[in-house]
Amino acid sequence: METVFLSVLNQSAAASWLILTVLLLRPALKKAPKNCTCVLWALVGLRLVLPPGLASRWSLLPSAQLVSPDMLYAAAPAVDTGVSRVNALINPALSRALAADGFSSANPAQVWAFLAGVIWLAGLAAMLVWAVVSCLILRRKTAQAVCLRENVYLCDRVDAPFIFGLFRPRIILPSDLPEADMGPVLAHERAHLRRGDHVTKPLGFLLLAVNWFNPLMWLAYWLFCCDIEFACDEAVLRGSDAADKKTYANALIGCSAPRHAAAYPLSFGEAGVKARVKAALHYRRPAWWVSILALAVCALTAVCFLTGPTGSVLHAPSPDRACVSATVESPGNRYEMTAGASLEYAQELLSRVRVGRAAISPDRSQTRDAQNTLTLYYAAGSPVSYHFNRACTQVWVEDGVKPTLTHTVLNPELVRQFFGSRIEAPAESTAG
Amino acid sequence: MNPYQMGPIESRFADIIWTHEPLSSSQLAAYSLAELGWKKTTSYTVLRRLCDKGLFQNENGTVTSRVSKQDYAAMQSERFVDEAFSGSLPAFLAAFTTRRRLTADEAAQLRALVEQYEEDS
Repeated sequence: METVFLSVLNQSAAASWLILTVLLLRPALKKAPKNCTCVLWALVGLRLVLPPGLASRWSLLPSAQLVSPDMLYAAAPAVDTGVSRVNALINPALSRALAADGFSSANPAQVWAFLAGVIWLAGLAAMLVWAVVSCLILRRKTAQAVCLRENVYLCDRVDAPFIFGLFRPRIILPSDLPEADMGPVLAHERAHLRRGDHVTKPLGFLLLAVNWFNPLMWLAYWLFCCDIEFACDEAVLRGSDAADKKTYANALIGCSAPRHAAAYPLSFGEAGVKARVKAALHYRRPAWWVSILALAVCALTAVCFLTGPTGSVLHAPSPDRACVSATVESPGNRYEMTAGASLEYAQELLSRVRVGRAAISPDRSQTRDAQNTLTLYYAAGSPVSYHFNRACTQVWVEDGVKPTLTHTVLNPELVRQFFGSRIEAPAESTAG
Repeated sequence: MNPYQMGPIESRFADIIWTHEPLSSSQLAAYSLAELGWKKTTSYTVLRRLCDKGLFQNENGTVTSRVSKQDYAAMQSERFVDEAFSGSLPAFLAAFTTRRRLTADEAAQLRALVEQYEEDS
């Protein structure tokens, strides 16, 4: 269960960077069709759901993985936010607090991760229960609705027009809705149905429920709800003249005072009525080049955030420095390589290792974890040692001048295969 | 203030009872299904609510009214005149007839009503 929670946490962290970017882009896209902003929110949804896969040069994500599952069993647990300064702030304290003490059989990191996972599940369950209960309450109310025509129903007991139902959605109108408002309201709700908002909004809520612990998610969900309302307003007003816009704005004002607007899914008078009235009255179709530009921004955002960082290269073999031999040290194993195929393989492997750009902690000491070490000896100059931790997820380099800071290894399996090392079960791990 | 105030849809349901009373609750459910498209449970729920309000009663499965349709209409019109014309019936009639002239028939009816009232009091 901890692994599930950790992967949710990692996805949430990655999506948070994207949410921040969308928050910055939204004001810039004011003149563009609102559909573009909705596309951006769809990207956020994709980011939350897609497993971390593709890596690319254009990725703007600072960190590939906030918390690696190996962290639970590590001697010095650390996270990689992708920002060195933040890492330097968090990780020393984190490592001290969560370091395995060798007495208990489970690392403190595991215990805390388990507890966090339990709390996460409880929060998720609470949100799902709330959703189900609201749904049942609405269903009771709409049972007493009467069909007006097709999928439009009138109901005494509701304050605002809204849409109810996933597979056979019904437009529910309050029975005292004035005649004049009916046209705009129906046009708006039909726009919702055409865009499939009655499906995407609950999906968004589901994602929010899974990521309830992330405050940025709540902001994102609220803005997403506002944006789909704006987008529907635009869809209705696209071909309208000034008189139509006034009628529409009046309908918005008329429907804007219900008591529990937030309780109704896709309610007409819900999100930010003042802003919507202004937007409706001033709506002008965006120029074609604005739409193209906005789409380009969306595509760029997709590439930059749906792909993960490739990191930096650990070792670039330099042609003017000839490597004559190497030693490999791992727990219970030590051997030397001399010139030949295996030495070349060791160098080639090193050049394929990629590391995160941000340093994990400000620690430069030589007492850091170096359970798996590959040292290259050169014909001229001092040897260079690449020190990996037990799980090969972190590395620091000693080149005889100054030890580097520790960095995350982005492709640890590659290194693990080389050292023949495995992540060991908690019962076997010790503080060393 | 009408304590029995009903929404437009509830009024349609009440109309069914007033038109067909006395009727059994299952007959009422059948009419509701035909005219309003309601399931049995919905009919019973709304019926229970209207009975609690005091408009109707359901004794041993038979539904009858405790407030007649005329009485309800009277309360409704009283409420309307109260809200829109501060209770002044002349003001209401004056407003009503600015857009519609009274026909001779209507005038005669009104005169008969006033005479009836003056006789009774």
